[in-house]
Amino acid sequence: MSNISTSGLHSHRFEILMDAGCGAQKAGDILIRALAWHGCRVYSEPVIPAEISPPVRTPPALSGAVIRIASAPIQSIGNATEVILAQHEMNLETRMLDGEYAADVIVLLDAHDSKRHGDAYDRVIRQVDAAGGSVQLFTVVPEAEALIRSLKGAGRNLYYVGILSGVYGIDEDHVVQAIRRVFSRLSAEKLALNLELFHYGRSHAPALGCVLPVCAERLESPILLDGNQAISAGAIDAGFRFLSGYPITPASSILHALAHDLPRCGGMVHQAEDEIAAVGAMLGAYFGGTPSFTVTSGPGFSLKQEFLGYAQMAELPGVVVDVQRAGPSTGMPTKTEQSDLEIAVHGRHGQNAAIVLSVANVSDCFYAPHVARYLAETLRTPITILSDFHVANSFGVVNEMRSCQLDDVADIATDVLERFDLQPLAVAPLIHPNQAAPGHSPDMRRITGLNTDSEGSISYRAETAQQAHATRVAKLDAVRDALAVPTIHGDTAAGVLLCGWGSSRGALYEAVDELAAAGVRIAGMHFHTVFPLPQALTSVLHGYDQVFTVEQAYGDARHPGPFAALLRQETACDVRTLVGQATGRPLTPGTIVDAVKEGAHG
Amino acid sequence: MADSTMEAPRWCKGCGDFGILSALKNDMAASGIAPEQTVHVSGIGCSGRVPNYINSYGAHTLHGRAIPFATGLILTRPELQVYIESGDGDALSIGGNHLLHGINKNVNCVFVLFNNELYALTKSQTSPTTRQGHPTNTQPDGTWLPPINPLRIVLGFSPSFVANTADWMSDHLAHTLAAAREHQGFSFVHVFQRCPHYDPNAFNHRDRSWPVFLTDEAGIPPDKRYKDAANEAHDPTDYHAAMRLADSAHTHFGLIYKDADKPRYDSILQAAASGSAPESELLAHFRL
Repeated sequence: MSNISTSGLHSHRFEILMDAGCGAQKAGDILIRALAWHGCRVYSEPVIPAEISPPVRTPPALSGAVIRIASAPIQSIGNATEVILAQHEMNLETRMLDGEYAADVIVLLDAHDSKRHGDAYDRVIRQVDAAGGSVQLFTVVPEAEALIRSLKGAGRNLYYVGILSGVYGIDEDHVVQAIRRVFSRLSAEKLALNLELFHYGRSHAPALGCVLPVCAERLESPILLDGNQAISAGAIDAGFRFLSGYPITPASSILHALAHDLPRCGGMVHQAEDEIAAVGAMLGAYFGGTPSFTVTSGPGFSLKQEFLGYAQMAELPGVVVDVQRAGPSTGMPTKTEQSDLEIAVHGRHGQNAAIVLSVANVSDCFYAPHVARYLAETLRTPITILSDFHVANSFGVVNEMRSCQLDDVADIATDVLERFDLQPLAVAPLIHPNQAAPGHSPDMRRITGLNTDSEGSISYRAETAQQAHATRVAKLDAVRDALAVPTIHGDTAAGVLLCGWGSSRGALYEAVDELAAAGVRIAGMHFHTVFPLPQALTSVLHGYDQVFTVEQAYGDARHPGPFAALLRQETACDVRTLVGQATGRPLTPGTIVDAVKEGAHG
Repeated sequence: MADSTMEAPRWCKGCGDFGILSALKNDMAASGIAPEQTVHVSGIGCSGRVPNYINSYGAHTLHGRAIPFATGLILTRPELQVYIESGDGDALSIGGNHLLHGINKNVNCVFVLFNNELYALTKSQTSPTTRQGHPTNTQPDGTWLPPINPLRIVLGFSPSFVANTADWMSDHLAHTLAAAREHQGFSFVHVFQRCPHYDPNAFNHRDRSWPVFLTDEAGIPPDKRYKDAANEAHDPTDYHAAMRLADSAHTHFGLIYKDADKPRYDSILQAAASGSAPESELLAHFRL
């Protein structure tokens, strides 16, 4: 195998694939940290089996990490994998079905299983060759193999860390530091064995003849975290002191993080008996005046809708973080999608459109709870934050976010609101002026899901029902009027506009940049606040010859995806879906670029 | 604020809910706790309207969901006195899961089950406690199955306080609510409640000779107006005796079971929430 580059890579993507339970996730963690310490910008995506420990050497057992590194800021997982390190041919074959590898992909394949599965190895190697890639079989050195056997199969992942860190020329000290950090709970004896296996792998790397040293330029105050960790830290910083939830992939890691951190900040995490109880307890705590939120994913979000409608009726604040996964129904719990947009906006009975924010990256995840709390408490209505599996689990290296320690929501910083294209709200319409929490006022507040007049008394009168609806709509308008049209990315004079929201931003912007470099005149627009939409958007969209969406939800030429449908509804503009991808995989810049080019030719 | 500003109850004439409402009001007055420190939380049904008719803070929530809402409030505002009002359909059917976990979590509140043995506000359908053979609009040939026994279910989840009373035993009901309020934990108060509109003869409530009052030093005194009623000694800390009594729920009234030592989820979480780590260090863990 020849050296690809000796001058340093500017952007590269590799992945490590193993059977579940063999430590691929830990290996990914170590490499991400080491690369970040090395100074790289890192964006990573885990490949997580939906089951805990499926039988080895079966397709469901595939576990791994996809890691993209660059010398400049990146916000997407990129297009294609250029180096794959696979434990055996079955991992490789399963993952190659996703079709996300470069034509000249280099595969480093552990030959450990090739004696017993020679035919299968040969078949998969021929597949890679036929696709234009190359396979480098390697054999773990006998001393290391003996050590792995003595550890009952554990530690192979550290050997692979050694190989990959050598291939990318990551400073050895940074890798050792990362191993110590990730294995901080391991006994000194076990740690020493893992380090020994790392060193064996590292020494093996030069023999593979694959050298891809990476450029490095450290950020000013770099931190490394994933979206769910950022939401957890952001929620505490935003003043939330009560989280209620029910275990569900991929939201559970927020519960895990805050079960540890919230009590240390005077708050609590309540693991409710079900999804409905979780949202109910959140609203009960907010009724008592405690900033509260709940976290969930698709199936749980469906179950919460009745209580969210109640909160709109009774004017209770609340915040729901929906970490979307591929649906419908149980769908694909460990795959990503943006298909909860419709339920978030319109999911409750009785005409109750709701305010929806979204997050594009870990920095957004930190600030979204602040904005959601500001809107929820100012307008006394529940707010939904749409995250997704991809942003929740993708690690990014970013500059440390600014601590706000939000107490009174009126003190929220303008630049935090601007991140979501918002200004402070001019008006805060309310059905019931009395919003007192128990204990604080003799004017006692009684809430109900029945229709009420402005005093809070049950009323079935025609004009109070109409008036209450008008006030709920006025809350949406208060947000609408505070919203700016998102900034155009790319050619401001282009006739074609691509729109996206949430975690598709990185792919959208990179695609627009790549197309611009190829001479295609095109603009991109990314939405943080997905409902309501700014009033001025209608005239802006009508100014384009063509408006398309790129979204991780099903849509095609005849059927607008959910975001296209929303834009059509709100602007009466003929918005079509260019990329309506419901594959469970994140959008890539390449998919968008190809779709634009095909569109131009078709 | 005077009661005159409150909405007038919209229940039917002769409804047992009137008796429970006045008992709740009297208990609030007897408690000495300020009305603004008191919250009534309810589900849906005739019983669900109680918070709208009481001068305190109130939340009339969703069908079956009073317990989760109240749990969030109790966890975060432990100083408040919380009463929960729920019906047999609300607590044992649509909200059954929450009742089981309310009992198990043992958060501090008075839970009042209004058991009229049918769905009333939705116009006479079979509920989990409707007696076998009783015709309703959903089972017009007579309710198919035997009723479930709420006391057995609750006792099965190791409760900390279980009492049995009836809306027409005003003196006994008052003593029961007081004992439930004084108990620290989830106090389950089962109240038989008349529904004159849909099942006027469900309980032989005018006859004062048949009830048996359970007596114990730590228990609830018998209703003083029931001079001819029998008394029966019962040790409320005896779990097996309580289980046997569950089958006599239609005849035996008083404190069925009490376990003052059962762990309380609310006090455990509140004790753990005592930290005050500096928020500015939230991201320190992620620094490179």
